[in-house]
Amino acid sequence: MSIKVSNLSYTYQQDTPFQKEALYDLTFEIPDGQITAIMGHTGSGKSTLAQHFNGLLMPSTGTISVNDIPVTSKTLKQVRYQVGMIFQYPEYQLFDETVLKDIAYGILLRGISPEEAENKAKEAMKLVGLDPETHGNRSPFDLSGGQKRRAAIAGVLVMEPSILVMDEPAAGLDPEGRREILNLVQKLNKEKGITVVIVSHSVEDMAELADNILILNRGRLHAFGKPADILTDKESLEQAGLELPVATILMQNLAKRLPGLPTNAFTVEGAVEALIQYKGGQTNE
Amino acid sequence: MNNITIGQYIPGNSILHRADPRTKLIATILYMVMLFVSDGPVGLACSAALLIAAVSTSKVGWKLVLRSLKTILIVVIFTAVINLLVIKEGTVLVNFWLITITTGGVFTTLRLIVRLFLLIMGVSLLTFTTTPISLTDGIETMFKPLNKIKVPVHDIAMMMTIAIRFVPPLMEEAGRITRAQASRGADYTSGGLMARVKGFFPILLPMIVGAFTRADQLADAMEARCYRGGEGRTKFNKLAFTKVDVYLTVILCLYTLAMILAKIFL
Repeated sequence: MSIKVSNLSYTYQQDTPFQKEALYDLTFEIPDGQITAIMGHTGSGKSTLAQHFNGLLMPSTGTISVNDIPVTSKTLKQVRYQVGMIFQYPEYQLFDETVLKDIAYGILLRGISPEEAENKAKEAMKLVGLDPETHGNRSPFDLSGGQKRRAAIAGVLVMEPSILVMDEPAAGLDPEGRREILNLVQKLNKEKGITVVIVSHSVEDMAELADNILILNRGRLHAFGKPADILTDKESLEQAGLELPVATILMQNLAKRLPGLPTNAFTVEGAVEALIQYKGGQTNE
Repeated sequence: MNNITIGQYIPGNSILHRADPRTKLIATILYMVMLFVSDGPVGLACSAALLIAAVSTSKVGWKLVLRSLKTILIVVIFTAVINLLVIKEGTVLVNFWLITITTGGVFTTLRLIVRLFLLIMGVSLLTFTTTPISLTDGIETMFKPLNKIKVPVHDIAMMMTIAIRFVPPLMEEAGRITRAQASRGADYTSGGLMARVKGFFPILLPMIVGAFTRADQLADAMEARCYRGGEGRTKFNKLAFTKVDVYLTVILCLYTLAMILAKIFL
């Protein structure tokens, strides 16, 4: 199950003067039912890699399989049933007269009845926190920025994918909109059991969200592991053009003045907990 | 969409890249005219020599220049076949059923093919070595005198510049929306004509909405920087003829002279 990638390389515009190698020899496996973050500096190949997961790009060399289906031009339909893909700024893909119609577009193409499609679209709206009664029959272009994005996400969720690939889903939103989207990701994973692959360069967000972190550096696999290991390794992160989460920076700086303070926290909650424990330990002595 | 070579700028630092766009424009127009004025074997050989020299100095590479021919290959083959069958001059080479091929037909067809190929390669070389922006800049400067007869040269050039400027982002956006809708199961390759046309709505509509948004934003940005048309406007990068242009002009004059002599005496 899940996504298996072996020896994947990808070159843009092969055999032209604009030829550009984007990914080199990647081999890894994304575990089922978890949230895996793909991180890296701008231009590290994150988005290129994400587009391989549902066959929008085909590897130049190497193979990739999704739920044991090899991704080839013949299995595209099957793969896209399994993998929902949410691009950066998905609100730009809205087009239909009403929000409900737009959301139902994908499943209607699968040949189910319009009534069933509408019901599923309403459910998807509720899932992303939009009220079908008040927003369902409005034009998608009348919604606010955050609402548009959630409507676009509903348009992918309506197809009930088992794997959801999201490219910077919170980019360009205000802090509240950001929070809502990240909470939604968590809810989809925990309640619906959807395997989530999320492309991001926000270490803070991913510290809170991800079960695994994969770091790309100039198209190469730089690191792959648990957030506790990845997000506390300053040197490795900096090599890849990323920074430590603020919580880790705080703890590592505090540890210089407070000997014995553990520096392995990488989320705000983790840091608070570690500090309380440290204080408790000191007063007990 | 990855294989568009015609009309694409190939970055470089050759003599042709550095030359003034006006020189290149005039050179290309002159070359095109000469191809049709002097289309005998000697004239075509002269033009071919000029093209070969230009392509090698441009360092764009023959592969790309030849690839630009691919787009018009069908047109060339079609015209060539028609010519071959219709022209009846000189001695008959083949006479079979309705098909009659004559020596005159073969010569005319060959000349036509060579001329068209030279034409396309010459024009692509212009776009390979000149950025669209400097090309419109050149056009604007060249046509400036038309201002006197109330032709809004600056406005037209600005529109061209903006249109060219927006080709790459719009292409990118088209690609992105196509991919997004394809991920949702969109299919534009099967079904009847109406089904296919309808299949394009999910791409076309967001594109149009996006284009209007961009246009609005650009208009605001230009007004915020006090853009008010061409009157009294100076240029940041002023076009200037340099040594390179002198060389090219000399070569061009020699070429034109050779072509005219070829036309008169051969």
